[in-house]
Amino acid sequence: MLKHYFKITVRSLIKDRRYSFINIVGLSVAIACCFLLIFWIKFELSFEDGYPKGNQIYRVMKVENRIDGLHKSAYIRPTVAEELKTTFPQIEAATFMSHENLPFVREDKSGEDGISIDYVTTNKDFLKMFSFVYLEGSPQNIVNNRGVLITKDAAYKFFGNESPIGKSITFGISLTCTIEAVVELPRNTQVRFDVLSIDGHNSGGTHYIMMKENAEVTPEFKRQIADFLSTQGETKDKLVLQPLKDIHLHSPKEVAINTRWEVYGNLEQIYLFSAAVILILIIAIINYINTSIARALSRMKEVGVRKVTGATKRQLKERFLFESFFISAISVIVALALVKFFFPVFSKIMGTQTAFSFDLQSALIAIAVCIIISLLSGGYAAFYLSSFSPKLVMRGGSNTGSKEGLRKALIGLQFFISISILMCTTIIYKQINAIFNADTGVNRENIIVLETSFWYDAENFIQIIKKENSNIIAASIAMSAPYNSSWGYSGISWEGSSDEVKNVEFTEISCDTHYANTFGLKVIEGEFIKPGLKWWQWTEDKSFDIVINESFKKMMGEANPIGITVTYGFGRQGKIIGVVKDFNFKPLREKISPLIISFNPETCFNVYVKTTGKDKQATLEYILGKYKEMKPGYAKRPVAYHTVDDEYKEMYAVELRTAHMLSVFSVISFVISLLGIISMVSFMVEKRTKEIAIRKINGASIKDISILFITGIAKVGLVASAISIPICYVIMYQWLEGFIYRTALSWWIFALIPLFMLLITALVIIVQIYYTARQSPVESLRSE
Amino acid sequence: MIKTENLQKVFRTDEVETWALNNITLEIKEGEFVAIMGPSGCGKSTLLNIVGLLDSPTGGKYFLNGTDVSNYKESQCTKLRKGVIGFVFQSFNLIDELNVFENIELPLLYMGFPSSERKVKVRQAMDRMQISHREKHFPQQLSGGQQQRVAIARAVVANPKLILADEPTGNLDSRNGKEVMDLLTELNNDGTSIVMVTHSQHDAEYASRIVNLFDGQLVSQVKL
Repeated sequence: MLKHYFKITVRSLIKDRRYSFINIVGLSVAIACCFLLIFWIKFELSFEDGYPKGNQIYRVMKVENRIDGLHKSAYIRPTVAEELKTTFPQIEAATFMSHENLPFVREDKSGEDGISIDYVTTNKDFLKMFSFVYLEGSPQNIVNNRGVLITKDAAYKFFGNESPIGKSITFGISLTCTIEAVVELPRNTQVRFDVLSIDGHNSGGTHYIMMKENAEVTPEFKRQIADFLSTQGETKDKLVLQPLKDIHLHSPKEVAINTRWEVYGNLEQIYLFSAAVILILIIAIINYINTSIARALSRMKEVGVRKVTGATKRQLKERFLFESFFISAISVIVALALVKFFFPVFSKIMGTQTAFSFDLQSALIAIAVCIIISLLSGGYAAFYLSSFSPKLVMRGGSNTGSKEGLRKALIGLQFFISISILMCTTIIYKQINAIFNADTGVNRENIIVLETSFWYDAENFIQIIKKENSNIIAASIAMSAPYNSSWGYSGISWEGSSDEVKNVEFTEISCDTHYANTFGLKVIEGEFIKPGLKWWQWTEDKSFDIVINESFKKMMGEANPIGITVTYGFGRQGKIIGVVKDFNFKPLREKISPLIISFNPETCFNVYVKTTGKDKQATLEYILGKYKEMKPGYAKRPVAYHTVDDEYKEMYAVELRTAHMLSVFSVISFVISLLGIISMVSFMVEKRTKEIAIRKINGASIKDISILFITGIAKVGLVASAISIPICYVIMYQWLEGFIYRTALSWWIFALIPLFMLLITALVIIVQIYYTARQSPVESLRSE
Repeated sequence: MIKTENLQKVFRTDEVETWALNNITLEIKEGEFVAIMGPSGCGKSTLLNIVGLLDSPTGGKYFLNGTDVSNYKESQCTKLRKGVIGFVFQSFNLIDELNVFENIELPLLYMGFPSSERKVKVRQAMDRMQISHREKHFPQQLSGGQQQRVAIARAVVANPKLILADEPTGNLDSRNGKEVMDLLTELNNDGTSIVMVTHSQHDAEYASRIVNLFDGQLVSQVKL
């Protein structure tokens, strides 16, 4: 029987090749999207699966009770985890990871440029807690020989294909690391490093503990951990344990944003993309169901004949389910080929950088997808077709099989999904565009950021480049840019301030005197930090002058804050000498909060150079050359620099990724819907060929006939638009709520996108009608 | 073999009630060749559908081989029909995607015959209908007469006791029509009961009895 089903299925597909093509293309693309998403979600969910003791490991986080709510932080003071281990017997091991980005060179090639790597210091417990695939060497070697662990990728950067074991890399004259082991670092881990030393001093960073095998994290234990800091000193801060497995996808927003060393996932993104892919799949399945219904009339004879010759309903369902299974299987195979081809691009957009591997699990997923799709797409057809009465055959068929209403509803659903995805994608792009072009009160144009690390001679450099190169307008050394600053603390007060103020989080930007000029900050009261100050803050009182923003002034409630001395939590004081106009110094998701700008260039590590934008390449080369020349101690370090654009892209990576993927999804959903609409229209035209001929005989023009057909579909499209517009408006309004700086939900998006869809559909109809109506009416009537 | 008692079929819509069959009482014995005649819309095809278990009556009784099947469900009808009743239609009703062999094989497939047995039976049926040379051809590659031979071959392949033919020559020219009628006569001579609906007096004369219907009522029966 299977052979029979196979034969008739193949012949039916060839006979109705247009419908088969539309179904297979639609399903293949939709299934390919589905596979890509499944592989990506599988990857995101697999984080930290590689550590056999992962279930016993927890990250220690600090919780501060700030005025705007609880604030969690993954970077806590040194030795906390080790103190927990000595206090609580349930804890078997405790470690920390302290990251530094340092340029190393091979010891035997000390004259060469350094290679910047992520150098992590930790303790011996780290090796107990996190196990890796050791390509060379072993944990014992590291401990016994006091050497370092290097990842395969980092080792390749220094040594190519040579074995690095026993060889050394150095940073300056103070740090030499001998490599004792090489590991393959899995992609799906937050525990990342290039070189790892277990002999490092505990200088703060992320802290982990590992519970003993049978020890449970009970509520009582959690409470004891929470109160731990207050038993060590006077603080209201609490500690909380986060399971290792939860770090990647379930970390608090403030922890996931303020990171440089970990790669966090985004649960919202997973939900959003899943929804988009499910919608695409629905569109493709609707195409299948619609074409099945459309073909039902021509299938009626087959169903009748089979019933008359003895087929049961079950056998007929089998026959049509086999057909849908066959189409799904072809689609799955095509989809897998598409996935293999597009996986590198997808992986790049998603930032996972994983390779596509088709293992047993993937094969099982493919089979499961195939079965689910066949049931969803073929199920309706199977039940519907098998329910035909055999007497219809004797009567020579009937029109009961048209299911006009259902088909219209399904086309309406396709319109709805396509219009909705297109509208949402357009709004997301508009928002990103608005962010990139927003007037945040900061001039970000033509700024090059030199990552100099601490540089006590930066003032000289700034003066010289300004003098020597007319393309350089201004330059400033600062801790962070005025669009991406998050360094903050609480505990600030001034004379007459309330106790509550001590709970407010202030952001501080440390910089030099050129900062306002470089970034175009507007001083609205008093003055900015005066030029000519000595660099070492403690040498003169003026160095403690600070500038605040409008929000700070508003919070103080002082009409004239100039001259007021602010006391920091740790005792230092600063006198307010000026107020700058409010500007967005954090990503535009966050509102403007109180800010202090202080003179403290010796703690800064970025030089921001503002140029005219002319002769970009030559100016850049001049800046880099001068930098190397003026910082001879670092001459062999790689010059790290980036542009404000790069920094912006990094800041909004999640939004950009979302927009890129959604735009791909919306094009796909649009094309699949269009294919479905084309097949439906051609079916309608085919079915009404006689009607077209009669209308033509009676004087109708192609235009009249087109209008007749377009009106029918346009009604469906208009209803779908009318439903999708308010729904999209509400969803996107809520999404935009997450941003402080929002684009407008412009009327033209809600008007033009449905119009665009309707116009394309109308065009398809006109082309179809044109070809049908060109036939001689006599011919059409004869063929009827 | 077939016995109906006051058989009724009424089609009802909200406004109209149409009596397609009005108290038909009829008996057809095994081995008989009965032609049902009457003008269009008199209920011939409806009667044939009920006799062939493709439709159920709204009133009266229908006995097939002594069993009352008037209230049988679709699944019971399918089971009962298998191998017992063969159908021949005016429009041939061959499946376009299946070739001659496969179309004829269809009833055997659903009866669960093994492949080797199916081959033997299909070949015998093709030989009998003289269409073996067209085995691999698809319906659209055959003439009307050839298509009807395939349809008859499909109807007889499982050796049914009863063949129901709905205007089997309606779409054929006179030469092909005669050939089809000769084939049906031959089958009847071999012991197969035949019930044939026809408009053609000429074809009806091949039968041993003619049943005349008018407005859903049996008006006369003529033995030939």
